[in-house]
Amino acid sequence: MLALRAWQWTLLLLALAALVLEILPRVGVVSRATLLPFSEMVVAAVQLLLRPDFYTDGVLPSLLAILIAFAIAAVAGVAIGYLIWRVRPLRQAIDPYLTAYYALPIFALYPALIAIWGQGAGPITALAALFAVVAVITNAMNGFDSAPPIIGKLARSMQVPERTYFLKFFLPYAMPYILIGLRLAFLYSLLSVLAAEFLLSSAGLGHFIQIAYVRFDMAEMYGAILVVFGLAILAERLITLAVRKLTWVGDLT
Amino acid sequence: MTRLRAKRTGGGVRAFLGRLGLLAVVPAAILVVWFIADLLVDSTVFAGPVESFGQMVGTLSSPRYQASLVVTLETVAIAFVLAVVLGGVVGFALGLAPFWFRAVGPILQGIYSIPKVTIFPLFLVFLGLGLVSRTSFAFVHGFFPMAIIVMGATANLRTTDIYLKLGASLGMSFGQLVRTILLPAILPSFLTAARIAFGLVFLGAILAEMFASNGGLGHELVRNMHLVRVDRILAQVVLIGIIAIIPNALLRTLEVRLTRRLRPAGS
Repeated sequence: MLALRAWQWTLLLLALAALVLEILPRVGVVSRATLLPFSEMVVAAVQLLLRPDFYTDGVLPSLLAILIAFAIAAVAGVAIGYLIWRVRPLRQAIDPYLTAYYALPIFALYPALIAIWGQGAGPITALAALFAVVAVITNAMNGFDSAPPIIGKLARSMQVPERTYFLKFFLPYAMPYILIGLRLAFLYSLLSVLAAEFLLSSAGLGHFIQIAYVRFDMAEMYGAILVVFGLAILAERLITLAVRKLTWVGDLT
Repeated sequence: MTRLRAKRTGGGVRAFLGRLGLLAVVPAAILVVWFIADLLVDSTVFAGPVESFGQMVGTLSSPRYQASLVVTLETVAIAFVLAVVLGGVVGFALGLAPFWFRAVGPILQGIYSIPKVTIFPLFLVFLGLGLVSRTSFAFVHGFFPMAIIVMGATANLRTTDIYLKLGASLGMSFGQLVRTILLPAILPSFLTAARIAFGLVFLGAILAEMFASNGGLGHELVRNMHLVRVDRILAQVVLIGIIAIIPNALLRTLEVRLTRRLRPAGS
């Protein structure tokens, strides 16, 4: 199409979007009080990235909460997933609720956590972990399901001890699925942490954007939004790449 | 059908009750843990199940809360229908065109991974405070996963081109191919996508109401957060859970049925 490759079209479309964002406020179709030209957003984002307090009050608290929540969700998710997968009655009882879990706006619990716990990193991290963990559980269970019985037989015929079997045979077999779960878990922790910060908190990127909006500081708001976009897309790319590297079952993503 | 068999054998009833019993395990466990937690914490702020369910009756009968319930249901319903229809159409169209699938797919994927809460102020700035901005925010949450999943499913059909070959050997027109083969084949994925979209639309609606709104269940939650009424918050969480699970269960049942019908015996 137009003798362009697909990825070139991707870039072209993105450039077009940026151009529209640049022109609309400049021509005056949209007021500059509500939309900044794209180039000024980029400048604002760069200026933010040069400010130390943007890191101490914004990026670091968010990143810390996201990573801790992600780590909890990853470890607990695989462990709980294995437990549910192993114990049949448990699985029968819990399975229908696992598929319904993401229909629940888990976020509704945040006000309760705040009221009980008080404001701080605790409720934010707990909420994010709670939101992310089920994605790991369900995908880990899919992974364990995918391991054919033959590998158990192989391990037994090779007289592999139980522990080695689990670590060297079983877990690697489930890994591609677990990685899909981890990718989702990261996105969910990110979403949840930023939303919680946006709603009620005293630090973090979500809080930063909310304050900028309340002060009507459009440069800071758009700058910070752009930084979050960059972080989210960078993280998503990195995880997708890692998944591709570590996956041998072809394209599961 | 289940009922017929149940009448004849009686074992069906037991099986049905058994399944119901299994379904009750999780809610029962939550209630027990909640009850024990309340006893252990022994705080004036925390509330146990008894207090919370007591609040639920009062809450549900207040006209204020009923109005909020209507606001939320309205937001979710409009946003959900729009997300399913538009997401489905866009996803299907992109899935049919491999070139655009590769060109636009990564952009959709990228937008999906961005936490939409960060652009919530933009909805306020451009759409104001009200039904339009709330609904749009909820819609954005559902549209992208819907489009991405349907797109993936459709593109998959093209790569396993046995369907297209079947169509060609039967001398079908493109319209016939879409109607009789492609659409039925992606229906299970379509329903999965709708189920996932529903959860996210609901989440988006609650978030929008929490951030800035003068009504809706999210607004009620935040109001009670500021009043430190944990009993009311937890009662509302349970209520929201019940509202969320019903459509999910319906879509899930439909999905399982269809998948079973389309893939008889074996797989």
